[in-house]
Amino acid sequence: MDLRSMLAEVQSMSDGLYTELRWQENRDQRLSYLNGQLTSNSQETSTGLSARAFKEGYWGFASRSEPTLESARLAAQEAVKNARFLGSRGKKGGALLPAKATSLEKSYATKKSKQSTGYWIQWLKQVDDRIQAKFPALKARQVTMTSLEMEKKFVTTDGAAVHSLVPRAHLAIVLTVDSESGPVRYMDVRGGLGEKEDHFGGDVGQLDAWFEEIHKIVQEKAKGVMPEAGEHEVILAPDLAGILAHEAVGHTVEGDLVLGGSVAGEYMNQRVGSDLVTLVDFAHTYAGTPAPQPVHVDDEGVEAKDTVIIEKGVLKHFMNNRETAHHFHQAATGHARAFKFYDEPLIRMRNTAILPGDASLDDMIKSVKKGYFLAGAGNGQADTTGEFMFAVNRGYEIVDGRLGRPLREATISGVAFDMLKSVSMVSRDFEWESSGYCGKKQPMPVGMGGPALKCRVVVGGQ
Amino acid sequence: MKSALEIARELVKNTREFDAFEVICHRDRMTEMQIDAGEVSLLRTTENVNLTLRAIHGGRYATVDLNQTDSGSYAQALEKMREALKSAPVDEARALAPQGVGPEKASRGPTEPDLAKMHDRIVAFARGTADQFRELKMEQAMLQFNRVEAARVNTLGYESDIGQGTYDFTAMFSGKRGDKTSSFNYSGATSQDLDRELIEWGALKRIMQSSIREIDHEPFDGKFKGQVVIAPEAVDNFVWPFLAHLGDDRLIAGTSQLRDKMEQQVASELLTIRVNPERGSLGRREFATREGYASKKGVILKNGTLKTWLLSDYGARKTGLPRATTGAANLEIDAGEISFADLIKPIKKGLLLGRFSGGSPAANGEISGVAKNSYLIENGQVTKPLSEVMISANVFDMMKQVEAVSRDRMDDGMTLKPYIRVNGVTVAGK
Repeated sequence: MDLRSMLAEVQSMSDGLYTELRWQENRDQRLSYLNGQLTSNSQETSTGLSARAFKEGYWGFASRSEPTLESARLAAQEAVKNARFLGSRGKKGGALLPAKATSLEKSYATKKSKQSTGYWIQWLKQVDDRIQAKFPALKARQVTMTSLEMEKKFVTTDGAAVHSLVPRAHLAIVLTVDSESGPVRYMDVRGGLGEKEDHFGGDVGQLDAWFEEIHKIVQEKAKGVMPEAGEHEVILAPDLAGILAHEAVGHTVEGDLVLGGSVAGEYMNQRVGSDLVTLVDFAHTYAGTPAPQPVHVDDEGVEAKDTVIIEKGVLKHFMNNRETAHHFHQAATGHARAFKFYDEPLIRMRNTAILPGDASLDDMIKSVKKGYFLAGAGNGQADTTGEFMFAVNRGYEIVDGRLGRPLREATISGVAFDMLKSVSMVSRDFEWESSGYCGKKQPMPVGMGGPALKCRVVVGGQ
Repeated sequence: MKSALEIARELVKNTREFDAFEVICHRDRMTEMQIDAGEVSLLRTTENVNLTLRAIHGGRYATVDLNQTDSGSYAQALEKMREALKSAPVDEARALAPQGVGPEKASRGPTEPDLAKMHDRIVAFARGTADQFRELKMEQAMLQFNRVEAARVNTLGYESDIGQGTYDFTAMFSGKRGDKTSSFNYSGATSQDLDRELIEWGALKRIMQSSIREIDHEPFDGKFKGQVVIAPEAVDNFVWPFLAHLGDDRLIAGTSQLRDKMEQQVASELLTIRVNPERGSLGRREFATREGYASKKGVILKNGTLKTWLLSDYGARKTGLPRATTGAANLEIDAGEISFADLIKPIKKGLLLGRFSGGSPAANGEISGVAKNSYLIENGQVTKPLSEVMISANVFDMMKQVEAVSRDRMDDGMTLKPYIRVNGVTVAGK
């Protein structure tokens, strides 16, 4: 589909309105064995075109699933008509931050030879067989392989022309054992940016150490205790710092949420965390390697750049689309993304991370007299007040600087801009978590990362 | 343009290479008007077609989804299907719905959006809420018209053809005064028409009023184990984790905590949960289960006694238990006999839970999370809005410890849910 050839035609139809045209294809696959049975063997392809036009503060959007030039023409006409419909009934006003013309061709497709679906069904069966043979006493086991490729081509009347392909693939293992208080499960996920061939395949024996670690954790959890409810000093493992960056802070500084009343709107250039906290939403690269969800140009044609949100404890920047950037007099740094062809771009995080410090994890644990070491991020949720919550899948008591009894599931919460001020140690480790979907009208793949943090949070328990 | 039924019929007729084959064709049209930061800002219209192909061959099963109807795309999808089937293990429990079990042909609700009326209604909502609730910050609100034509045809002679048009409205907001803000909250409902002002839909007005009161939230610094009144909009957080133990995943995996409990008392006798897709005032009706079986009225819990599994046909074959005769989208919890005031009257110290922001429950039903948009109850009165308060409980214990159910229920166009008072919940502040 040559969208460039459509652009001149769109420009004449849109009567000078800013207009985008986007072709997008999402390719999904899900394979899952539950106790040795292939319960999911599905593939989905979603293809189509959309157009979006802007008139004095009003957006018109239209999409069609047929990827033809005629569909593009119809979608563009309808998007312009929709913007005009609203414009004719209101006087909102508004403007977009101008964007410079950006061209990009970027593909993260695998360079390895692609394996067939049949190969992956067989390989996943070997994974399942291996786990069953190693741990025959499990109550239940589930192995699931998922992959998503998002391919986009789009042009804007500002001169952007982009073609990108960003795939990701994951293998999730859930083991369940019996305990005195009923079944206990633990899930762990591997994979990330790239296709299945970049992460998996070959001798499943290479994954033995991982299987054993998951099994060890679920057995510990089966003997685990519930944490004591209330505020505690905790060490959050690196995988939790990532979800903290995303849920506790990231959502509150999204420009649309700030306009909607987020408390972060009151804190620009104010201290919101300790000196040890620097939080960045990376566009595409961290420490010289691609971040889990690289964005080079966003879906409004804006070149994506790293956004330093908190610098040494001080709130410095919101995340914007072109409209909120204009409103807040800030730079647009490439946060507008759409999940499927029929979705409009929203302000989304990309790879949100707290930067590492210089402490060792051992020293951090030793420094806690009574508290918890928490790891394994589950689901989470943000709030306009900055009060966040997320689920924790494993943990241990810390007593006099040593790890004690294991925990079962826990949920932790806090108020982001109070809690970040309690951060007193930051480890030199850094880990990305790459399997998350952020939910905000549309789902969206995101990356989250960070080091271990020593801080105070409220733990839900008995 | 071919109808969904014509597309499905033609593809099934021309695809005879599998032992059993099914096409589910959805033609969707959506019109959306959106308020951002208090002002109408987006008009979005989408058209999509989706084909779900389900095949069984030699006892092997696979599905392929695509959203193109041209012959080239379809040929590629069939190639993927052949490949996926070739390596799949034999699973004798896989079957397609036979002739005669589906819903009758139906068309329900409007077929086209009333664009001018949609605009009038959403503008009235934006202006009305700005006038009536000056301390409410409207973050986003969406009014959608959705029309779905869904056809299912298979080689066993099964054929269904259902069209449904609905208006769906959701608003997300928070109370804000100066630099003080409440937790965000949201509410919405589904309707067949735009006869009523949007502010009258579901529980919107009540929840928006509460948001303003919640600006003055105070952190909770106590801890107790006791009574919690769950608002209708938060009930799903506890009922669904309970009902999940009646469904495929848990029963097939052998991890269901209700596996041996059919016809036993598993909840308080005050609790009756049923499914009623035949209620005339439904905004959106569930016509069929995911496998195509007609969704019928049914009782899941009758006075706390377990009456029905929520198993698919596949789940039923895997477990040897009976298939559900109903979906579960149009859920109803039976009303009790007392008012909200009487529900909270006996509570010396308790919590009114407006929204639950929690983790997924553990496999044994333990659940914990933050009580959002929630209030302290003292001596039978709702006294003050709280923040930074967490609750934890076990959903199986909660269902047994239901003490009272309110007379009034929230109708969101899909479900009917009352206030429920439970005991034994741990409530803890900082």
